[in-house]
Amino acid sequence: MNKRILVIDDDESIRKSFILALEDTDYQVDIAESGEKGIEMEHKDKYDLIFLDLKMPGLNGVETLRELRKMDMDVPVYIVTAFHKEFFEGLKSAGEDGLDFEVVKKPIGGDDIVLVAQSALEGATGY
Amino acid sequence: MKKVKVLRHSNKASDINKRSTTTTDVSKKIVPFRTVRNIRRGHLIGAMRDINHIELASWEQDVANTQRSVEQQTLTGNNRFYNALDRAQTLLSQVQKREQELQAMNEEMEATNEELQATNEEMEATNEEMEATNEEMEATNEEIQATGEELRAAGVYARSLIEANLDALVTIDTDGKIADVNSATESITGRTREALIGTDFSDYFTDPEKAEAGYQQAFREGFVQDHPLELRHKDEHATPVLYNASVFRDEAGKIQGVFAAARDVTQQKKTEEKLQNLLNQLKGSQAQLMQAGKMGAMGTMTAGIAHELNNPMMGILNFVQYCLKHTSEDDRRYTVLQDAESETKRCSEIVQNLLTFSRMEQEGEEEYRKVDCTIILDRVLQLLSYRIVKENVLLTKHTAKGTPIIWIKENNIQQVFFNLINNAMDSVNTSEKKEIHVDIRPEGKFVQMTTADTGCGIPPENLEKIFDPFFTTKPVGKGTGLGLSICHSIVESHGGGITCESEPGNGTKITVLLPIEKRQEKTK
Repeated sequence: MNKRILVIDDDESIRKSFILALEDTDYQVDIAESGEKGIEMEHKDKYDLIFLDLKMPGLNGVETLRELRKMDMDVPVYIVTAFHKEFFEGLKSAGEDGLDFEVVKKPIGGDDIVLVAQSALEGATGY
Repeated sequence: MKKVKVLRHSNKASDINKRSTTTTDVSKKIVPFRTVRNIRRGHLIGAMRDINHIELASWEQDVANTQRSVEQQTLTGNNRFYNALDRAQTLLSQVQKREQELQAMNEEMEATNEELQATNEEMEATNEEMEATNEEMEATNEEIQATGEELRAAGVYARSLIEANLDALVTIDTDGKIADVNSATESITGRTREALIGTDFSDYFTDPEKAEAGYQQAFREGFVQDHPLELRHKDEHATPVLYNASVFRDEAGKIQGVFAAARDVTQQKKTEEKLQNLLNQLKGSQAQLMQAGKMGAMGTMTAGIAHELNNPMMGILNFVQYCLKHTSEDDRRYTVLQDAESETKRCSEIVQNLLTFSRMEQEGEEEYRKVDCTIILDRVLQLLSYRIVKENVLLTKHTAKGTPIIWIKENNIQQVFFNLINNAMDSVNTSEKKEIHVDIRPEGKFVQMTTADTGCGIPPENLEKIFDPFFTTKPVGKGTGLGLSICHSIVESHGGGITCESEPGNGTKITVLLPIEKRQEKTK
């Protein structure tokens, strides 16, 4: 069964970017336009990898992360961010609370998206 | 004739009296016995014996002769007496005459004496007068002496005031020659009084004509005030002075010359320059503050825009890459899409740089981590690679093997490397030789990173200001004057150091030292 990736981002161009970048891979990519939607989807179906935006209306990335971790402690979560100052404290405290996550710097190109996905899912050393 | 034997021994003349001289005496005398005493006088006794042989006839003759002789002598004596008497009488008359004369003289003298006494009295009176006059004169003399002393003291006082004056004082005669100077003039010109007096005063100014003009003005208008000149020292160094001069006159009101005072205004000038510098700095600071204010506002806005641009940028990048991926290399659109991709990446870089700057404000929030500086350097070079190629800069890099991984705030140090290399890029921009060498190596307890460029260099007067916030030589809009200041504070906060060496025209070398040991975090 193909590995499944969830992209949670309020910005359509980001969601589309992930879809296009990963189109030629074997991964199945699902998208959520908000934190709430993402949590709901993860709750329904377990994903193998989650790309999560920080700055979103409603639940922001950090809050979403906390909710996701309540359901699944193991799924790799890559926070895709341009380092918004206002979310640093939350991210830092989430890290201090033992919530595991990785950070990917925005903007990220197609090849890099594939590399990150592969390294997270296959343990590839390319990135 | 019988001779009376004369005693041969004249010393014994006294003995003659003891012997009989007359015949009677002699006959009556008994010849003394030969005594021892007489024997001793044997010779004399023998003589006496001779007397016994005197003949009486001749003796009487002799007596008569003697008697006549005596009479004669008596007569002669009488004559002598009368002669003497005559003489005495003559003398007496002479004396009397003399006495009369004396009397007359005495009278005269008495008269004279009286006169003399009168005269004496007069003289005494005169003397008293003279004594009085003398006393007066002495008093006057004392007064004169006192006045003289006062005058001398006044002269010394006046001179001491002139000498004590810090201004260079000069009197100039009507021919423009120096007549007198004080010691301040000697020291300001480096010449002695003797050398100065009698010479042309305008010779001692850097601009003799201007000095002459001041002097002429003093003559024409009676004075000149704050005439700016420069006095020339013997060793050629100049002292800025303000020249004040006025004419001075004799009792009749005739102009004698010009009395000039030159005030040393070196310190004043320095102070003025300092003030001017401060004013300029203040103006500069004001401009910088305004600039900083603008930059602050602009920074906030830029960060906002950058963040907003990030998502669409990521979208465009991925869309273009997708198209590129699905376009045949033979397709004419392929290269266009390649260009679109690279330009999109360029935009991303610009956005990234803007964000790097705005992230600086979050310095306190970054943690120390163990990082390899060479990796940071590679990342920075990657970030600048486009510019490096475009501006045709030869950038060489050397990273020493065994450079340890150290505890740093990664983004901060990346910012430092970025700023330093970016500055080097700016400095070689106008140079003919465009070379930058970057080096990372362990150096004692530090990791040392240096950037050396062949750019325009930094003038010595700016060298100490380069780490000051808002100091920039870049045109307005090109630099904020914050880059090196930020580098400095980042490196300092890491417990390291940053130094700069520069040779104008030949390039600049900046050295950053970062401690290998983990720095103890300051507790807020």
